[in-house]
Amino acid sequence: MIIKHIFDYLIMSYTFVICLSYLILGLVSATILINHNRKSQFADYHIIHSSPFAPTISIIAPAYNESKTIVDNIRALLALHYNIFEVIIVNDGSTDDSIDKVIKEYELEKVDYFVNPIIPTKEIKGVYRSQNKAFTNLTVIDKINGGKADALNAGLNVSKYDYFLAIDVDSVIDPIALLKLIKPIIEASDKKVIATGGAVRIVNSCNVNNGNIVNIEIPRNFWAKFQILEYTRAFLMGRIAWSKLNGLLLVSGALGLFDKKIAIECGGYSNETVGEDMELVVRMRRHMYERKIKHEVVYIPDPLCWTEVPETIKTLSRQRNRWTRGTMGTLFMHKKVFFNPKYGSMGMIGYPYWFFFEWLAPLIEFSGIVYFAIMAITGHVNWSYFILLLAFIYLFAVAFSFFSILYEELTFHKYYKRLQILKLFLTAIIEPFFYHQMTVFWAIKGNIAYWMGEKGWGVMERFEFKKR
Amino acid sequence: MTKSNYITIFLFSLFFTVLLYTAILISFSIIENRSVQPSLFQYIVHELPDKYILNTLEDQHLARHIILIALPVILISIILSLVSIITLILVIIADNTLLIYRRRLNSRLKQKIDNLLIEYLVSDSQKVFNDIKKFRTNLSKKILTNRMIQLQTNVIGDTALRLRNLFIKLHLDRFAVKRFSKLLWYKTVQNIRVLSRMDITDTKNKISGYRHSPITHIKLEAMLALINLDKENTFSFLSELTHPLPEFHQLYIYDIIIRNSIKPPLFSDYVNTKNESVVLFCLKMIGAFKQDRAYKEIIHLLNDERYEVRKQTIRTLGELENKNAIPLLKALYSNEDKDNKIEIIKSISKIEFDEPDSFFMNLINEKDLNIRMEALKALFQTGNINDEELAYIEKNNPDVEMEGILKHIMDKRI
Repeated sequence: MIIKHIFDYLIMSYTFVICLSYLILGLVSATILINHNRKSQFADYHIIHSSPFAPTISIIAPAYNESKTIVDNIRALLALHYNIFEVIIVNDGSTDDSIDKVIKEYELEKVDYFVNPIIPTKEIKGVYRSQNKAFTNLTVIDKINGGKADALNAGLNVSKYDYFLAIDVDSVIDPIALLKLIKPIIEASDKKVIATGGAVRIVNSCNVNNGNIVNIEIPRNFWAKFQILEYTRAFLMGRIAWSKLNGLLLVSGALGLFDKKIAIECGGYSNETVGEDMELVVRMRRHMYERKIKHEVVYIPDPLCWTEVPETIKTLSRQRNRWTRGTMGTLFMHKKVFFNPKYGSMGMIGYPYWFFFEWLAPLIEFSGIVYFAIMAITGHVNWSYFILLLAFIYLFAVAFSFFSILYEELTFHKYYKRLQILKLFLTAIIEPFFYHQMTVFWAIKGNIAYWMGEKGWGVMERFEFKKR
Repeated sequence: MTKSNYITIFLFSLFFTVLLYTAILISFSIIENRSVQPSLFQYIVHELPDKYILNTLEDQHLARHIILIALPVILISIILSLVSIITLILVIIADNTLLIYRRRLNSRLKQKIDNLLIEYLVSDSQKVFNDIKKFRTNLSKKILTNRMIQLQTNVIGDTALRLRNLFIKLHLDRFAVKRFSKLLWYKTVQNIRVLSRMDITDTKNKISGYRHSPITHIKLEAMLALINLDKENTFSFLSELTHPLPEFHQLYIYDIIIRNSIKPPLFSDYVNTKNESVVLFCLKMIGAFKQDRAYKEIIHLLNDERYEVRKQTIRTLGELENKNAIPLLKALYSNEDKDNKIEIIKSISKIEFDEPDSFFMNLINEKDLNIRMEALKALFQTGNINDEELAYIEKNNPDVEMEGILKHIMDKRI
């Protein structure tokens, strides 16, 4: 009986602490969004755009079997608003006709490019450049398949500029994303900004033309709808708050701008984990802390990247499984950081939060469900109290999702049609009934897969963007 | 953000603060066996649990302990969550309606204003001026100001001057000054920028007062505005700056100089300040405006103890293309790290040679591949290599890397 009560106390305390942490993050986010909106009123991006002194940027986009969207997306990347930048597409051993399509469309020729292997990668079969003057800032690398991290490292070896933007080639990038991402870096005065990230939104069901979004819609797909809420909560209420608290451990792999020199000093992306984006951020931050250099990883709430999310349970399950393994891989590789004051706010707040509330949360929740089932079978459940607790958790979750919709409505207002908002409300109301439980289940599978030594990415399905 | 948005965010904060405060208060009062508000809390803490929960428990002692602490928090959270869900639905829908209405209104006004402004600039007609003057509400004045600023960035010469005069005739300068706010710093910044953009020199004294503002954003904005508005002491702030001059503001100053055709000062006057960011900025500007006279004033910075200052000095000397810098750069080479070595090679290669030089030839055997590559590039760029020497390099460096680098450099398609 004593064990039962200890367990009761632990579960209750954990629930309250996690709810409290969400509230704090929500509040911090609100203050940042207000400040961000104030600053945005007089942000002169054209100054950066036209300046010859603005930092230079290499965009690195690994591509694996992206034949359906690659041509349009490269065109959109080449049209980004910035003064000096290059686009590096890394064909990571695609088995489809991606490379042929790109060579044909952009009039590419294989050149005698000398690649300095600063970071070791799988063999590069060839480097291509266009002889058409319209595409002079495009470089295409064709290499043996080695995974996303390996492809990014190959891109890093070829890149020639001060900063690099790592993106997913299937994502749609806002035309002024580079200007917005570089701004915190050049605005910083007392701290070095080593990386910046922007909000990622969902492109499913949106109309895309030539790699640009022309009409934003709520996905028609059932599973993608839930992910809209997830992304809004994570980006508008989570990451911007962590950025303010200087505890950010992750810049999304779909869109992240990094200081190239520091990334290379750290050895580039790691092939040891499928969460290479998170791992690089943690390693770069450790590097800075160990050299006692004041630094920041900044997060911009503006929706700068629109990505395609899984639409089937199978793909979604694989993605979540991979995310869990990526988180675990990074956390275990950098266990030295855990509650280590040497690593400042990352060690004392950021890492422990990820450990307890990102990695352990599904495990604790799952054990709670199992415990409840045992208690229910053995007749030890007080049903009145259970209903009260259930109502509390459910209403709290719905209210929290509603607040994220409010944040979106007050700031970027991307889903402005009334029907879209009603759909979001409805999704928030039904989400806690089963979608959340599914994510817990996939996270458990991810944990098992990690301990079983699974390393792969799994196959992601791609679809052609809806054109108008 | 609109006022209603602030109110909503404020309500959100209030809601959670109340929730937290109540939870803490009740928990403490229960633990200390004190009742806060006898009637309501006794009902929540004693009667409700006794009636529906506690009398069904087997182990009343331990369970009571958990429930007595958690129950009030749970009940209050449930009530507040429910209230907030209903409120949020109403607020979001109301805000959405209002926003759509505002967007339509703004778009209509913008269209009207743009047409009138263009018509005025083309015709200079009094009738059009009178039509523009009819925009009297704060909202329309704000839109008018924004459109004029937008237009101002795209016109030059006589048209720009007429646009400025129109701005003054419409008293939008006074409107901007009125909108300087003690509480809302961003409004002050925004309006200082408007006045600077429209070149309203009469406001320089007013803006000058903000140079000592405790808010960094306002302080920097005032300093930058004065570059344009105060033609006499334009860049004096560079020697006064005590905090770092962010790179963004450096770009901004350069933009102001170019956009307004301001005569750049001799930036070497400020390179001896202790403020590293100012020194770096001045070095960049010396290179950008090819201020050859600054050569003697900056050459000592090659031996500065600050790494970034040395790096920028190397780059600037390359921009100035002064031959006298070559021996000094060469002498510096062996003491610098890899990055600065590469900067030295790049800088020297920009400066025209009188006679062939062996400096680069000596570097092609360096271990670091980047240095080798830059040295070979420099040899080709400066025309310091002939076929015999190329054959010599290939013969004496039969490694794969050298072959690769040579192919890369000679491939004109890259």
